[in-house]
Amino acid sequence: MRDARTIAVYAAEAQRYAAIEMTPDQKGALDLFLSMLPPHAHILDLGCGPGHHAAHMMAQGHRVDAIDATQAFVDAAHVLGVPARLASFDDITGTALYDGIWASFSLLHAPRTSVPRHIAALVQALRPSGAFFLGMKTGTGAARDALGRRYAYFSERELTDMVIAQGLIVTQTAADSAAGLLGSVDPYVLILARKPADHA
Amino acid sequence: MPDLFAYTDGACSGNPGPGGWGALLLARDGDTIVKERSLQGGEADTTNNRMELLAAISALEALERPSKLTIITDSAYVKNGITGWLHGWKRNGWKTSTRKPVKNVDLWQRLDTAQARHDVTWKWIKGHAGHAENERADELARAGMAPFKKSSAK
Repeated sequence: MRDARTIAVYAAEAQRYAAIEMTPDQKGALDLFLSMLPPHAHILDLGCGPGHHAAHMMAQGHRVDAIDATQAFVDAAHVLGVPARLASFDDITGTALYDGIWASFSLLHAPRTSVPRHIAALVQALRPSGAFFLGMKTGTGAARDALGRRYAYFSERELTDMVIAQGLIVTQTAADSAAGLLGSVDPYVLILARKPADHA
Repeated sequence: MPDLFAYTDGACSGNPGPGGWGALLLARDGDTIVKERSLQGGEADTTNNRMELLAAISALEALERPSKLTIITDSAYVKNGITGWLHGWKRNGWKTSTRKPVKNVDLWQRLDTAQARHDVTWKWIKGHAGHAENERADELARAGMAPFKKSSAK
């Protein structure tokens, strides 16, 4: 299921990628996600990249299980003190393990038909009352970008429906799209959801 | 250099209740629109004022570079707060003139931080008065609210 070309792009670009700072709206989403968690929460950072988000979570006193499919990112995260490990979406198994799951622009690299299955596995791994964050680029179909990375695209509605179908309560969404001549902004959506307290 | 405008609006079904926000960012070169960007979002349990604030915050936070822009809102609450009351609240340690805690202080502080990166002119217009861009911001806000309205959740 791992996509060798996507991983190769990230391996080659890991250093440059690690230098990109969080934008204010990403930071806002992360702060909001953290506000949904109890103190000293156990968080899964799915596709942690160079580990900036995980390092921020750890600085707030949380315990983070950070995984990525690109070894160069795992190494970069270690530099920030994040105990990241090499793993991919299919390695997520188990029930009620995490208080929060942060899936920030990582699941979009899964095969399009596998995305609902991965979301189901993530919800299974989430504890009752747990918080779920999903950041995805929006669109239709599947494609490779100019760098060769594999992308699965869904509409905002398809994504919220997938999350709701797994029994989560969507608490907040934010979406961005652009049209015009001066460079492009890839449309994306940020979704925050919570697992019901009595949901096993 | 094109001029940048952000039209922002909030919507709420019940107050509090499910709500949405929308922002239409336009880069205009004279009468020509050279770029547009639309932002929308929503929450399950919120108020109209919070959605109006979040629309403006999201527009400002979406701009990666410090920019000169005009924000057009139909919310007197946002316009009066950001151009007037805010200064007093900050002096008073985020208390109103009657020493009560400022409502929605989390969002006012976020808006204050967000606007500090930019050079913002604030403008109020009357809502639902046939202003095309304001109507589009309203549509975005309603779309942002849609996933949270039980009747429309399929």
